[in-house]
Amino acid sequence: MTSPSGRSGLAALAVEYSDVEEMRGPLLVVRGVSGVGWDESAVLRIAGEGSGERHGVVLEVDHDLAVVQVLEGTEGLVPRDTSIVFSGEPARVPVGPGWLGRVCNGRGEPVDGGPPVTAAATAPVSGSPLNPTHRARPTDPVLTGISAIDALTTLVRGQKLPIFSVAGLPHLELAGQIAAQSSAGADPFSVVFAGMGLTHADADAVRDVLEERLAAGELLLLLNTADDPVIERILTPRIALTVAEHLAFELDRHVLVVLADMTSYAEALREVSSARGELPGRRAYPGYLYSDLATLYERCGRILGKVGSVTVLPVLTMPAGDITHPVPDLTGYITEGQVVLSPEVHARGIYPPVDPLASLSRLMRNGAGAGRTRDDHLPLAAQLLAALARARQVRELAEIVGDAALSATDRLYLEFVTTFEHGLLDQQSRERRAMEETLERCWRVAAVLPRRELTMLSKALLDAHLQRRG
Amino acid sequence: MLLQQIAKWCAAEVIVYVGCGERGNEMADVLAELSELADPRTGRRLAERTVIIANTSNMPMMAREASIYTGVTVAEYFRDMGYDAVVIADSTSRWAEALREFASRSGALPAEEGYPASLPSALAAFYERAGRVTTLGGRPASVTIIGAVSPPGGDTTEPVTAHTQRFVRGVWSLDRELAYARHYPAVAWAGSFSRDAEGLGQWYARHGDPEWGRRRARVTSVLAEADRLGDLAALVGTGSLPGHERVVLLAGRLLREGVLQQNALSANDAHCTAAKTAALIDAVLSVVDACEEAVRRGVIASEIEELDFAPLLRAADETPPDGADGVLARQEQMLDLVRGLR
Repeated sequence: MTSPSGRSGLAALAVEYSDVEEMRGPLLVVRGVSGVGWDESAVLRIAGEGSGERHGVVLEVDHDLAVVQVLEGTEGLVPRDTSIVFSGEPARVPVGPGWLGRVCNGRGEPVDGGPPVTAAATAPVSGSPLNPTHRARPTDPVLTGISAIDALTTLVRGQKLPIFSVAGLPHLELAGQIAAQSSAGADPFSVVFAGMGLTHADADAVRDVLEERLAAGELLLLLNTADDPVIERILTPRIALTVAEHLAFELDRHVLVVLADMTSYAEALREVSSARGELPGRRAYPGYLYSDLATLYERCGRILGKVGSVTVLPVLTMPAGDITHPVPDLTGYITEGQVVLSPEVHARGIYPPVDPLASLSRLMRNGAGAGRTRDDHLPLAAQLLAALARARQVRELAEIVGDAALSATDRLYLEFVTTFEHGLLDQQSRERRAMEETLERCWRVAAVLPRRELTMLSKALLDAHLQRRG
Repeated sequence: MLLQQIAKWCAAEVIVYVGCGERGNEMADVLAELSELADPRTGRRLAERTVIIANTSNMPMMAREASIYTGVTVAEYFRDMGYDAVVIADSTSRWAEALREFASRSGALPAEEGYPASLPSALAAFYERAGRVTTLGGRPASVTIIGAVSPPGGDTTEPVTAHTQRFVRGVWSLDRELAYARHYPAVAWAGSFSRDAEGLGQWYARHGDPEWGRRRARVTSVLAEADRLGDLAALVGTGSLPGHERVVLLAGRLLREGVLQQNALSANDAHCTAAKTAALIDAVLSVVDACEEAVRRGVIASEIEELDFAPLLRAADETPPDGADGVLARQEQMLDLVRGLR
């Protein structure tokens, strides 16, 4: 059993199997079992040296053989000292508001010195697919207070929007900032932050920035650090999502789930796959990586007739900046858009280093516009992006022919980029910008260009916003 | 998004939308939108003549494989009743991945990129189910298949894309650069093809638009020429090109922004009738001709480029979907402007 609630009373009555045949990496094969099903959770009891308990999940059963994936790994285990008790059901965790304000490890056990998390209800960590006809379409924005995201790739309640980054960029700072300052207007809002494979320095930084929200009882922090057992990471996002689903759909809260870093999660999956001797797919990731990621990401959303929502923000680092790497590639298929961080923008000293042209929020039109943010938001964002695309071409041209050979309009486009990056994108890592301010900054950037270039904005909007400033 | 617009506006009697490995939220979006949408053809709800096969990516892998076949079979049922049915399969790449996942679990030897060796024949068998028939009752009917392919990492040489292109009659290739520039729909004129253009030209000729074939040929050649010159201009700068070439570049831009690019959120521009499309293209082409004429008269090309083409570029957005007359008025307005140049 993986839950901190403890099930030892029940387990004491269950059969204990001790015929451990083989141990290999994270896997343990036990013989002579009967009545064991796939995905059952199990507890390993260790006698002798290093006595205690470890936790596992059944991956496969064949006749009287069962393959158990041990979350803490099998290092240091001695077959004859190890026995296994199966729980008879998939892993469950307690669910309820008791999680908020807590810091736990990747298996949901408190590391903040507090008592174990308990609750009246429990839920299976694997969740279940939601009937699409019971889903409500995502509406209304999650306001992150970050101009680059709020203005150009609005995060919508119930959306899954990943941050694609490369090693060395401040993606964790950005994820931490979003977790610390996001809100759903006046509606109740909670955050679940699941850190997977974080270094201790990163984990400390995350804890620092989230301290305030943690103390306010609005946040659950699950931390699996880089030196924690790798296989435990397979459980971490599932606990986070299970807790979030309950907060959202039973307790009517809007919940933001930050999963950082999904590349570490996929590596844990690959480790199990190769230990099982499965046929490797692209870059040795298992062929079912897509299906597995989908079972996580698809748990976001809204349900008809319920108030709350689950919004998922996975963070992933693209190894060597390769966006065609299986993890970002498959993630991009499942999620509704992406926020891409760019080393070039970072090198120019802009934080957050978002590449607006490569970033996209597919649900933006559901979450922005009249009645949600402001009526001018969508056309304004479209205009800024179109102008940026044109500006990028101009810059390439300028590098070849030199600035002097550019037309007057083209030179304005170059100025537009500078104003855009310094006047809109760039902000402090603890600065929370209101939506109104972000949109005002957008207009200030658009005003750099002459009116005849702003073909995507209607005359009425141009008159209302540009004339005013003379 | 593009597929949903096609579902809404296409001239078919029954629409079968297969969300194969689709995002749950997008499925919810389609469902909600359909139940609200009035059918532009009948005035009733669009949902009444639509079948949705909803398979989300977190459902079991074998359900994903079956969903595509379910969709075509439903469409064939309506075809046999004498209707024109359209199957929109979004996306066949997810379906092929389900085939791959199953093949690897059943221990089949992997062929290209891990897909089973039977992938091309499975794709061919699926697309070949499209076609026109005369039903036993004597009515003409058809099944049309629109399949979405999403090549991983935009690599169009990967097996699913490559094999699909072998078996289909037409391809709309969506372009990343256009999408970045928020050019919607991001259908690239260079990578797309239709093997039925000639037949369509004859159909239009029989139905009152004999110019269709000629107009299409002129537009594709102008776009190709503009692309070629665009590459050149990127090297040497627009300023050093002669007047004629700069007008061609301008023509490419006017076609892209005034005709090809649409605004899916605008009531006027989300849908464009064949007549309005023809009027828009004629307007752009005649303005381009006038610009050519102006260059020959000795007008400097940069003066033409600095003209305010907004009336022409906004024509699509500001005239109603069947408003060919409004486009004509703007054409005259633009022509006067160009002719007035000295």
